[in-house]
Amino acid sequence: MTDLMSGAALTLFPLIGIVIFALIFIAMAVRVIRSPKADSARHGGLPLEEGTLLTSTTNAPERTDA
Amino acid sequence: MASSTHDSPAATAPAGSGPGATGLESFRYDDAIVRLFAWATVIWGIVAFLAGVFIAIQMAFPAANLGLPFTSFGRLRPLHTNAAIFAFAGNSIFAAIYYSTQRLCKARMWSDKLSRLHFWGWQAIIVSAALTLPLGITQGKEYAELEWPIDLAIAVVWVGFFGVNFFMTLINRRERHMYVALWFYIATIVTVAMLHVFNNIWVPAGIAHLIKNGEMPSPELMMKSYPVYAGVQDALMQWWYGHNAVAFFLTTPFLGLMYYFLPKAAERPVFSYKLSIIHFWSLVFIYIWAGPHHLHYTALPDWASTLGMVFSVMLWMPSWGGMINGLLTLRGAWHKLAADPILKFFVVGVTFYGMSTFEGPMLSIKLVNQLSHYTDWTIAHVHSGALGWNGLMTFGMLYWLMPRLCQTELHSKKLATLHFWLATLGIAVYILSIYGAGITQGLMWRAFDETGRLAYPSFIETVVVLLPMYWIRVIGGTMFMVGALIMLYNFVQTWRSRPDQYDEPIHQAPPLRAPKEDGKKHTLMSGDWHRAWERRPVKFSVFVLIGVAIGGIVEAIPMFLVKSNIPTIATVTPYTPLELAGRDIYIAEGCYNCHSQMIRPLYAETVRYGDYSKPGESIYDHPFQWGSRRIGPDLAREGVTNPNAFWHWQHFENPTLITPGSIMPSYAWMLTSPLNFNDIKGRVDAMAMLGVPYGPLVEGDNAILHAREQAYKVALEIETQGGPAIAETQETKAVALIAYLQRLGTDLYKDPDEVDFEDPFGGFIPATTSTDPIDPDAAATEQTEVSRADD
Repeated sequence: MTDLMSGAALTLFPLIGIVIFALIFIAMAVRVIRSPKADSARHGGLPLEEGTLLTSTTNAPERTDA
Repeated sequence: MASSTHDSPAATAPAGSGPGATGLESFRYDDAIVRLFAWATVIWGIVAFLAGVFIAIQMAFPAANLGLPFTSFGRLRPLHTNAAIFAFAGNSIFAAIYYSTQRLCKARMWSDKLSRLHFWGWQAIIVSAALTLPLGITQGKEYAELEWPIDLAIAVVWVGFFGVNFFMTLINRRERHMYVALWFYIATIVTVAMLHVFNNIWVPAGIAHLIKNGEMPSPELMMKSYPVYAGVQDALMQWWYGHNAVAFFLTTPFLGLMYYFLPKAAERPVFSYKLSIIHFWSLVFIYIWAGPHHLHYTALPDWASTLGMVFSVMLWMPSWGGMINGLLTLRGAWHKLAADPILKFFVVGVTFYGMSTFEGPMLSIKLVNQLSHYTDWTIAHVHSGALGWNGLMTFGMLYWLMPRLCQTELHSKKLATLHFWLATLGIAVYILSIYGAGITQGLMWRAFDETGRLAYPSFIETVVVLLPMYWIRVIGGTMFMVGALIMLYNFVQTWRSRPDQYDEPIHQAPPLRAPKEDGKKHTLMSGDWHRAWERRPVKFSVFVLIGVAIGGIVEAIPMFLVKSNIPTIATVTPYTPLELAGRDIYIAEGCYNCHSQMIRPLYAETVRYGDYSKPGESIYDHPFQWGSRRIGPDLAREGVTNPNAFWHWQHFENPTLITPGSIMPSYAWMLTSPLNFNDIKGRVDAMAMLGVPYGPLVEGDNAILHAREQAYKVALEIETQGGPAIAETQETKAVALIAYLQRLGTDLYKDPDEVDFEDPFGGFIPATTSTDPIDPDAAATEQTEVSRADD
């Protein structure tokens, strides 16, 4: 393995990295461009939702934490 | 484990509130765990800031260490960095993750028990760090100083408690889409686990000693470990880890925090969700490659550092995409900024993120790095990120969280605003003074006079000029710390007005059902494949792992396998047993925090320090000791330029006597601390297990006897040069450290014909079979044997 790797040009390795990155970046760009606006709008608003509040009646055990 | 605590309807809601006609499930969020992490953030933050101010004072006034080994700069600087990163920022991200994950998943954390094990396990790790680092128990790798038993505990707590609990919560969530903040948390958990494991592969010296000899090692030896990597390879691994600790501990979780808490505080959704997706994948993929930019012009092969530079520059784009996305989330809400201290913290925090992520790529450009590396410029950059980005984002989150967690109003908004201004101005005072110090020193190191000689040949000239700026830094750091103390007071007062019993509201949400198949074929160009991942946490995590692993693999495998990366040098031999013991003292005292051992191939450096460092010189350095800062001069050729034993002895005792104006603290205690010679055997055995060719020294007590002989020689040298008598010095730690310093950089100047690479110790045969200290009166008769070892 060491001999095999040592025989390869070192410039090959960074190029492999750049090509992989370019492919992933293009794929992500496609995903973003083609995603429906309504989906993005709903997903972007998720932090503002917390689930429907059923009740805030206190029936918790005695406070023992900080 | 989880069955008794997770949020099945029966476990968390009143009887009869399970899925009914409405199809909704009831659940409560676990805010008690968030309260614990939030309080821990505040308390450890103050500890970290206090330690920072204390060592900042020592930089300007070394005697502030009180002459104690436990409080010296070299030992406390790792404590400060570990407290800031893993205690303050760590607890902060855990508070953020536990709060936001539950809300984004509409589910309680999977296991309350794992949550508590995570909290208490993490605090135990922090306490272990606070106890071991001042005692000099360290691996000597920046931000990875903690020794092997604590490393194991970190792996268990991070993966076994935190990771399992988090991923099981994702799997049991009630919200189909995983919000982008969760992606950043996934990247954090997966990548930190990977970095931690691969940077902490070591041989514990005590265990090796126990296995080989069947003898119980001393506690000191039991805690000691050596990494399997050495020299160039260790440097690459360490900065792959070190840089990505910044990326995946101090950046990605805080971006998750930003994407959740900033919309909450601004009461509006993130500016562009589409941009956040591009931000995530670009950042995660690119960041992992950037580590080698910490090693420009070192003995690291040029292809690797160039690769690190290129990806660092590319990193600018996603970073600024994220910053812009954060700031524009406030569109239409800028008027709130004037009155809301929380938004103030967030806006300035995100702005500091933008500044730091502009400066980082800039510093990674080789020509800029020539000037900035080893200077305070790097320290200013780090603090702009840590205090400005991590600190202010944490404070903003805490001011938003604490009233909600304590179910009351914040005690004082005015005090929060005061804290904001103290923190912001404190950072400004700190970083501006230290930028000034860094650039000043960098320019002085490379300045030549009209005759072509160094304008400031004495290193101390480039130190004393910085002292006013160091004092200004103390002021800035103190302002920041006072702000944090005000925050503590504000939170204590807020907590005191909490209700007698915390309300635990019950929420409802429909259970997660399998997604409907739309019958469409998922093609690359449709983008549907990614939307499918966004619903599947395990698959998503696997692809994140692949994304981050690519960068590491493409850099590390050639570095380990391509022979031409590290040309060997025939005259480079392993450290002698005494030098190895001295090297371990060098590491334990944290000398690497102030001294580099890496002369770059730059004219100003070779003129000042000597021949530039070669990759083959550090092949036995487990771990490498190239350093990252020159508060004192480089020591790579110390054995060539300054081998005088008595000079070093006096210098340890009183640095200012030898070098007026020096800011190195006194190590007088090291002149009387006894060296444990018996431990040396275990140290040599462990190194031999790593492949260091110690030949006959691993047999019997040869390593101990060899160390005693060399200690005698060094002690004799000290006495001959006018120092204390041999009997007073030969058993001390200082002698071992001097032996190590005398060795540094000398290998290149040995005669190759006189070095037997296969047996560098010349088939060592002990001069004496006694393990007792050498009697100085018998010195004359033993001189013959010592001379033989010389030959």
